[in-house]
Amino acid sequence: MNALIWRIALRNVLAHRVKSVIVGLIFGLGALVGVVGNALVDAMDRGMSRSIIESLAGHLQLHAKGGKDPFSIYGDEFAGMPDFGVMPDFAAIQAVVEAVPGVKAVIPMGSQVAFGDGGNLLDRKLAALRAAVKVGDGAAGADLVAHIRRILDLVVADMSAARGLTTDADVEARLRDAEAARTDAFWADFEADPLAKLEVLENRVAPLLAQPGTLPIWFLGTDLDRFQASFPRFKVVLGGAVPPLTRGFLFNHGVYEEAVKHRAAWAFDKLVRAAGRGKRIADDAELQGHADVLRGQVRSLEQQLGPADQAVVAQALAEGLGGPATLRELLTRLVTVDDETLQARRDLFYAVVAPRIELYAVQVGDTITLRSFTQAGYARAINLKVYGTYTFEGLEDSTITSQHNLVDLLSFRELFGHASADSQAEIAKLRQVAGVQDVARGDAEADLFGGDGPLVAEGSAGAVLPAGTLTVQRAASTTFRPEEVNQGMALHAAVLLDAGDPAGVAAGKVAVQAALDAAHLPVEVQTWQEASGIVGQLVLMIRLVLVIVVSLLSIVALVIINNSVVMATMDRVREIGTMRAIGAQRAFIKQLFMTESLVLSLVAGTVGALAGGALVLWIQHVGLPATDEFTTFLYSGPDLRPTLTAFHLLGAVGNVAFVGFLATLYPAAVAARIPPVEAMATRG
Amino acid sequence: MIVELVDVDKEYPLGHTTVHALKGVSLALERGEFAALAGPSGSGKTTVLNLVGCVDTATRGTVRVDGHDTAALKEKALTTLRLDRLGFIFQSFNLVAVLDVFQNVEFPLLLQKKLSRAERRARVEAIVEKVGLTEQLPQRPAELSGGQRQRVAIARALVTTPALVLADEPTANLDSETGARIIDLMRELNRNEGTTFLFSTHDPQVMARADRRIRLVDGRVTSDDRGAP
Repeated sequence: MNALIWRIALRNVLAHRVKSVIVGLIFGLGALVGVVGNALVDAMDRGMSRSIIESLAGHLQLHAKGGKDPFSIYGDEFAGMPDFGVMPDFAAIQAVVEAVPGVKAVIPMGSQVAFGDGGNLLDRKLAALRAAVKVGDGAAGADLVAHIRRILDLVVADMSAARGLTTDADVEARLRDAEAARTDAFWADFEADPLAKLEVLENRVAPLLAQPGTLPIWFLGTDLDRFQASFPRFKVVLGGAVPPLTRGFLFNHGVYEEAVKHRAAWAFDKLVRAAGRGKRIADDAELQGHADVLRGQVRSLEQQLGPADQAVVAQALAEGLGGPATLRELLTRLVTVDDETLQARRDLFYAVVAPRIELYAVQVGDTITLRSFTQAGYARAINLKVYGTYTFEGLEDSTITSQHNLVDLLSFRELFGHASADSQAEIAKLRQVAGVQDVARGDAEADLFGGDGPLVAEGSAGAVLPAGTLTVQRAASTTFRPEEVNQGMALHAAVLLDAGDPAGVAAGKVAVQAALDAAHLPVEVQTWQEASGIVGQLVLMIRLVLVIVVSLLSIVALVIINNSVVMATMDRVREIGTMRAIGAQRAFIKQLFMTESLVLSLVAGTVGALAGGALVLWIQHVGLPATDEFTTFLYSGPDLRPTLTAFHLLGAVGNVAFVGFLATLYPAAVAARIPPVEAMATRG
Repeated sequence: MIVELVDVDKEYPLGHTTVHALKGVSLALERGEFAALAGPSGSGKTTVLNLVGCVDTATRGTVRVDGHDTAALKEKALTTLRLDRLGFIFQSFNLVAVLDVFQNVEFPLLLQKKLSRAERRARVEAIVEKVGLTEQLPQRPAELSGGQRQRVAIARALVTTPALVLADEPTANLDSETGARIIDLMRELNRNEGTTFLFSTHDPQVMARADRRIRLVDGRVTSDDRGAP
């Protein structure tokens, strides 16, 4: 009986070619889409996991229990700095967690936003001049003076044109100082008292130049040595790593390129890269915005070019762009680009102009001033040497992993408002010397207005600041002792495990949490996915989109298959009627139709799944290139290399068979209702 | 008595009117009969066959087939009755196109699920030999002539050894010589196997070979004569 059904079903699939081809194509395509879609989403899942795990999060994240805001490694950029709570004693946590089997490393972390300030061009040139004067470098000094005077000329020319538009007396006064500073008389006796003259220039004149604006800098304070050793994708791009046990700052290369680079170079980079992706300035509003930024850089470039370089640049630009013309005209022409001239102008810019300007507002080796507000609201500032820029290999173009600059943990603690042991000792000493006492907040008013307690203790006689008692070494202490890193607070910590698969991470979370609880440490463990907030849910969303797409396709397929099987049934009314008349029950007819659908879905589904598998293997071979920052993050590199599993193939065939089953339910019921009397109807 | 119709009416709607296909038909058929239903088109021949074949039900009156009142049986039981007790021969042969001769004849036996594979084979081969198609066993219906197809249909109708075989204009789609041979074959099976046959026809030549001729006009039995015409 079953053999009969299979035989008839198989032969019918072959006999009803049109129906079989249409339905088979749908089944095949469905299986193909299923295999390819699932393989790609799985690859994205793995890619994104790697992007998050290998760049910042590790497999697990530790944070204090009971923080005010829910924990997220990527923070909350909209609502300021969230309060996750503080883990006050990292060393204790580290000891417990590192003892858990399967834990490779525990890396303390804390992130915060600060404002970096590198000053404007004149500030930097004056600082360089001050340095040259200090060491008595006459040649460098002369060049700098020439450049500074040229900048002053340009500023005064621009400001004079705008004179009368401002009624600000201060600006007017500053402008007079600037005009005075242009004169030969001003510079004639510069050598006599350079520091006084520099003072005037720095304080009175430099503010006339446009301020570049303070740069918001997201930074992650961490144990830099362990961070570099534990995240294998970490790679220095410019400069070098921060030496062991040293304070220092590393720019994320993405931030460096995006925010620190000269706007002209930045705009050229953006435009050329977009052109490489086939976008055109003519029909892209964002690119037109970049082109506008580029056009606005003439003045800045003019100021940046030293007197010695002007003629060279003017000549080279005249050759490239056609002259003769003034430098300003040539620069204007250089930065006015359209889709046709872009590449040539960019090449000319990098060949002629870029080597002669400050391509980055902060150079590797410079000292950057980070200003931040502590959790308690106090302003803090700290100077750190910029050792270089870093990136995560393969994730260079991903914005999500290119936000955090790195600083050493001690500097982070200071900016965050958590004093180091040294500075705490220093404050204690100061208090002792000054005779300051703690006043409980509730008693403050009572104390102030005549409470019992003395507000100020009697200081020791005549000792406000006895010489030699206070040794402030902060500026000098650019290095620290190894124990200082661990002995202190951290906001959170990354845990790297030996087993990084989802099951390993889940097991690791349980084991680490158990160890922490046993040690009575109020620390909570989250998986990277939980800790990465909305970012960690991205793949879930993509998978949801795939499910929706496949579901919609399935519904469309269902309707089409349903219709074509019903149509085919109409052609088979007599055959079915005959079977019924001869003695086939309704169930037999139903089974027959379901079997036909099953045969077709299995055959076509298998063919489609295999074709999809081949496509996946092909994509795996050539790679699916990332098109933007987001896909780079998602692919965890410049391209996506999906892998094929038996699950992808079987799942797709199973899904297709299920859709086929659903689609045939109705036609099968229709066919089973065909009355046996239909066999009698005479035709033709 | 294998078939008994008592005062049977059959009405069915056709557009806005009602067609009275049968009006008070009473009819009985004994085992072993070889009876023809005769009459012009629309006289009710096919309706009688449908009622006797348990593929349709009467509007009024009683239809008894092999002792069962068909009005009292459910769909499933009627199907089983058709499978086990009746055989059908259709005007257009109605073979399953995708099955070969052997499989077409074997089809009702498979539905019955009573015989083993070997028994089925023996039964199919025996009946196919009787209709003279042993050579054609592995062929598909499309490869056969009209007469050969109708022989396959006859073999399929007889393979379950039914009590009654119903044939609706079995020779209408065949030339007269082939038609005559088909009727001869049915006659022979009727004599040798004792199978009851009821077939409709409006071909006088075919009618002449029947033992009994039941004539229908406008849904009424107008004559019922036995013996050679």
